[in-house]
Amino acid sequence: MIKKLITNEEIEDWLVSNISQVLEIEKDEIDTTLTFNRLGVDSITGVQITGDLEEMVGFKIDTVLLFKYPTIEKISSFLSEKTK
Amino acid sequence: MNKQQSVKAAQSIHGGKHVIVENKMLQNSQKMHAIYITNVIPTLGFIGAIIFSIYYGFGLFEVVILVLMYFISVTGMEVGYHRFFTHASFKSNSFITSFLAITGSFCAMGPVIYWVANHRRHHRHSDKDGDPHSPHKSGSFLKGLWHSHIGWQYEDNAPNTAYFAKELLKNPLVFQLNKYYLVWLVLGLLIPTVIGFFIVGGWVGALSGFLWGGLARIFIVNQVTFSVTSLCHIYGKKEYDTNEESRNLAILAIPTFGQSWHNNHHAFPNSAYIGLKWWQIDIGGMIITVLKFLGLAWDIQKPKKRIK
Repeated sequence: MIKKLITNEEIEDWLVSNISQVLEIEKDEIDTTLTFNRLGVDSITGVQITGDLEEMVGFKIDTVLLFKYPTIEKISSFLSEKTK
Repeated sequence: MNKQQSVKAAQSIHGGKHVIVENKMLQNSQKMHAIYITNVIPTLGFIGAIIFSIYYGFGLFEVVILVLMYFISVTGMEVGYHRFFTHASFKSNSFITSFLAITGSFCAMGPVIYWVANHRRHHRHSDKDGDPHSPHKSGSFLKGLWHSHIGWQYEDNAPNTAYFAKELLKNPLVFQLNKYYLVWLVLGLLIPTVIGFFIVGGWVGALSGFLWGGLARIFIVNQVTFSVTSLCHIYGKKEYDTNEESRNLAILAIPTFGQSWHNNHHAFPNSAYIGLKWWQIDIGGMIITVLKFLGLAWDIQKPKKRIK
């Protein structure tokens, strides 16, 4: 995997789009400050999302991060810092 | 996590979505749960309960706590996990939703959304490739029996909950009930222990409640439930020409709360009532009728006409 420089907004947009597809929720209905739990992301769904996200950011992501940074906003900010 | 450990591979894909999620971490935690929590500890508990009773007897308290906890757990499993959550065969309020998810968790068969996803997978692929627990896909009779009864729990990949049960993931109440599965499971062990402590008295009463109302009860509930996935796809009468091998097995009707009329169930999967003739005892259906008269169940699904 090649590490890329990705902005906070790009990761947020990607997560909104991915979660909207996986759980079939309208993008407009996804609040980036809501917890992943509240959006309906369980451990099985979380594994799928982080698996796809790894390819997007270009480095390995532990699913545990979804619990440590439990909103789209928080994890995007953490990951975009890591790409710098 | 490398790519292999991550997510990619999937047995089959429906509508662009994975049906199962292949991930080592998920598979390991599922396997450890199935081995120890679902099977080994309750089996040891059952043996322990028998040894306990050799020394301390098996009296009225043991019978009552076992039957009471069995009744509550199978109500949670059969009426709750199965008919309410998986097949949405009736509607209810938040209290009953919570009660059924909690008491279903008492059976140690996994969190409700995971269970629902697996069971919907079983209905989609019954006795075909993709069925998690068919007795007919393992090569030999004994291998098939073992696989459909217990083995599949150790071998299987996690079902994609977002594919099979996304309406439950998106329900905040059910999501929370699902998340605290282990708390409910422990509660199901604590209740008979505390009852034993106060009714029989002291640690002997507590231990008796824990063993008979807790672990031995889980062992018995599970063996009965596993018999639906194994025996009820092998033995019994096939009254409806369903496209799989389910059977009506009368001998298990009472302990399974009606689920052993399994061919009826596969013919009418969304029906709240599984015993379809007057003599087909269906305790789960009776419980739903009682809930209906109490105003706690509505929009109850009944069998639709089907060509025999």
